[in-house]
Amino acid sequence: MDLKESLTKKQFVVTSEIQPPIEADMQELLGNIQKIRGRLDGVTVSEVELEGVVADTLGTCKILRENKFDPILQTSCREKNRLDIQSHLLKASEKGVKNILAFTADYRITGDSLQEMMFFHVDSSKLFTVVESLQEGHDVSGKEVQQKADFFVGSGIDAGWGKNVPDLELKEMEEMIKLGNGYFLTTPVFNLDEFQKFMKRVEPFGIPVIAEVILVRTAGMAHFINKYVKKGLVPPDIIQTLAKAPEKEKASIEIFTDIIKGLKDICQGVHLIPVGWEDKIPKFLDAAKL
Amino acid sequence: MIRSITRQKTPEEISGLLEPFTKIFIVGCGTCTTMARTGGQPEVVRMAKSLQEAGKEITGTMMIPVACDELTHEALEENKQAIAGADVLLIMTCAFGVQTIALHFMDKPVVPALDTLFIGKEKQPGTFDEICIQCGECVLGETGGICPVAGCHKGLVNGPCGGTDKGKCEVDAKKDCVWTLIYNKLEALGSLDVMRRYQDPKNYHVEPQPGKVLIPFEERSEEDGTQP
Repeated sequence: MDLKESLTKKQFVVTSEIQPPIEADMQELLGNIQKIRGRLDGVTVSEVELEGVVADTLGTCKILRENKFDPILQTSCREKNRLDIQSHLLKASEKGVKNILAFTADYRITGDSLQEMMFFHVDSSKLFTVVESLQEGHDVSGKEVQQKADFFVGSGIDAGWGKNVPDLELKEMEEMIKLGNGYFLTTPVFNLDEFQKFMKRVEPFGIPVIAEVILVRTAGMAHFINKYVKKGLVPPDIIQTLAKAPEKEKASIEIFTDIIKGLKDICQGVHLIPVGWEDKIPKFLDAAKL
Repeated sequence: MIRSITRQKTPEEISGLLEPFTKIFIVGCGTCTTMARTGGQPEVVRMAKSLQEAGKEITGTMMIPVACDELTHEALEENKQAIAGADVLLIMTCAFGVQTIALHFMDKPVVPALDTLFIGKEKQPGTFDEICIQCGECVLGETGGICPVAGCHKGLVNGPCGGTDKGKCEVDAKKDCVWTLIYNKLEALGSLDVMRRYQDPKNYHVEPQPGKVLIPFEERSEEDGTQP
């Protein structure tokens, strides 16, 4: 069953992110995800890395397919101009990638590549129009491409509630749905009350929403996330629980389980961000009964 | 008024650039760099003093009223003698001034003391904001007169992105999200429908670099606008 089918047939889908390995440690990665075969509806190959260089995402997708996993290719607008985006997507289509996750990407504020130029020549809604062109069998300038692409596309959405002008928050979603977006992946969820309010607002759109959940290991990691990813993302009570816990892993699993319990009734799935804990995913899935 | 916003290079970089030279003539500018306090009279005096302390000989200094102006050539001629005694000119103007001065002397090296950052405006004393990046495809008519190309870190024309947070930017919590400003302005103007319009991808090459535009003489207006 591919991701599109799972989203229609299942009540709650589970996907996970992986970082494409930079060195030849694909075996380790495969070893880790073999353990959760059959429990994931898709594996997202991340293109955005806080610290700089990202390995070959297309090659990783190919290996995942050969090993009977359904890869979801992330593609974003920070490091690629329009030509690069099109060539990336055409290569993905050639390699049999069916799922695309389209992001604008964050502005780079940390890592070792701060002097590099960033593009953002298209944003995620325009990235959709690029995908649309390729699916119609031509590039953005109208020139025919050899093979029509066929993608199931999802995009990101900010699940923070009440932070911005409500009308603005919905505008982006409406725009993306109009352009053919198949599902939304939210920003990481920690606060279930806020997330529920967000879901109430987007329910009328009738489109699947997958909530992102980070496996936070320590209070230090939570502070890092709050500093570099998004201010105030990890709430103080979770940081405290982690700081005080004698067994960090157990505490982390409990936090995860609580979040999943809450999410099961309000959205259509969960997307795991293991950040180095790829080998521990089975434990988390077991605890949350996923 | 638009200004060329500059920042002084580090003392290490300046001393590295001046290393081969002993006798130095310093040029400041009375316009943008005076206002930005990077190349006005006080900065020129300070620079001369610190170079003297480092063992350099200062053959003279001068302030040019508007270094990018054509009159710069005349001003330089007036200081010909002091300049002739120098091995190098240290220029404390923006890059426009540096190039104007470099064109005047075929036999004298120039060294810039400043980096030119952007064309901007001093919004509050000491705070300079980039206002226009001269993209060649003005969108201000659809954004309430507030520029997202210069004002958004990502330069998005279909904003805001997911990084907007209570009206502030993901890059810096002290910076306003320009797309929230645009939204509020359009709301005040009663034209939020414009906000919902999808903008096509921008042309990033309207004017191929280096820009050169020729306005034929016959197309320039000869009228002075006083006649009905």
